[in-house]
Amino acid sequence: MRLSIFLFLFGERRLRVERESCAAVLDLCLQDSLSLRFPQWEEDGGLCFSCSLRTAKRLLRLCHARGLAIEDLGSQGLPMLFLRLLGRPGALVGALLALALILLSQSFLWDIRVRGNERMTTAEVLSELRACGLFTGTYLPGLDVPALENRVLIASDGIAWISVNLSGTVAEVQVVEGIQRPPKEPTAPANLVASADGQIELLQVYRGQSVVKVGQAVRRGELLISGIYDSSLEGYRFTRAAGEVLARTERHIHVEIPLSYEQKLYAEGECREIVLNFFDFSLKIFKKAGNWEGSCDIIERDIGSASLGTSVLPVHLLVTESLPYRMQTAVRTPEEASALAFAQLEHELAALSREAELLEKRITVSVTDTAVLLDCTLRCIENIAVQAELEVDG
Amino acid sequence: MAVLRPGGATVYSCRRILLYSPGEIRVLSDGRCVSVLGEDLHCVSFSGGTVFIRGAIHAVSYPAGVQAEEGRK
Repeated sequence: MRLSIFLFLFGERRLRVERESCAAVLDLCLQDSLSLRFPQWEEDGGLCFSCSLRTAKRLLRLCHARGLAIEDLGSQGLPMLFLRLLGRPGALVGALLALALILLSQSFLWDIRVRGNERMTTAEVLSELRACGLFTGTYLPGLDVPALENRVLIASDGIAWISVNLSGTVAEVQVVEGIQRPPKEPTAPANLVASADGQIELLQVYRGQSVVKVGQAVRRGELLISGIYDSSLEGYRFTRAAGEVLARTERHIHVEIPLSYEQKLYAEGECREIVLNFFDFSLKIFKKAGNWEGSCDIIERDIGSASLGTSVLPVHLLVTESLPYRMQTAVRTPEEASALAFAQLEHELAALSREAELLEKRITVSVTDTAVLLDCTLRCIENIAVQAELEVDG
Repeated sequence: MAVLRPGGATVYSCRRILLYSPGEIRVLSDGRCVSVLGEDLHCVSFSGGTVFIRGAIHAVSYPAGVQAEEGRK
């Protein structure tokens, strides 16, 4: 394999001499101290070799002056590449534009790396930074980092400290989130009242005065634990009653699944649009338009950002697809409707089981001309105490 | 004078190249004829009268009869 950086950079010329002229041509090289590279004997006895453009020019002139046969096999290398490029103005302009783009892109922010966020997502931090003027594509010479950090601290509720370090065209953003204070507990005086009818099973009073007993039946809205202390010495004293009152209750769940329903029927003629995002600039590179005037589902997909190692390049494709549809009435069988009703009931029971202990379940299924009806009666034990604030004058 | 080196031979004070072929390179050095015999021989460097001959060198000889005749040419 022939490899010479020097000859590639400055250009080389391949020459060939016949066997009988070899000694004379090489003698010329000796007399003029001309260097040859990569000599190679051919099958017919000829000798091929490479030399620099300058050496070749001199050798050719000497050979012609002495009447020696020498064949020029052509030139190659970087200068020839440039000459060929000059013959293609489009490629030359493209190369120049690429060079200009590379030089220009050094003035813009390519990537933002956020660290230190725990409660806030990176997208939320980036959104707050964008609102304060730091985003992919920010013009770096015009960026005042201390002012930016102050703006973020003033504007953001979640960020308590921020440091923006510019490393070339990448911004390393370190944030410290503020300490989240627990929500203030209301302190207004309140009673605990029953949220549903039931029979009391267990009373746990944390604050206030109980006015019911275990085994007592109560109606919805009835007072369970009072927030008023009545003292003959001190008069009335108000507090915010707290506690748990577990009671046997009865709940009803009604599920109705119609036999006819509306469903989407996707039609022909989807639209597609592909947008190339480069920094903050968008370029529509493809659009297939349809003539649908009705409803359609719009699906946006980010095909993904190009990456280079750990760096994310500010180039990505956004594909927007519009899938036109029209609504069509469809019919389901009673069995299908019944299955759906039971599935919905299971879903509601699962949600209920988090706040109540189920003791008994009675289910009635009835089918009408238009729907499947499912009635479920539940017996359960649950906390029926809810706070009802008192209005105290003076 | 010819000095054998790894991969070739260096001939100093060359004045002319008398014969150039894959099997033999003959040069005029200090008024004497130096013949390098071998396979796939090449001259790759001509600097200040010093010629480096690369290839599989079998022998270096100084053919006496050729000297005067080639020198006159």
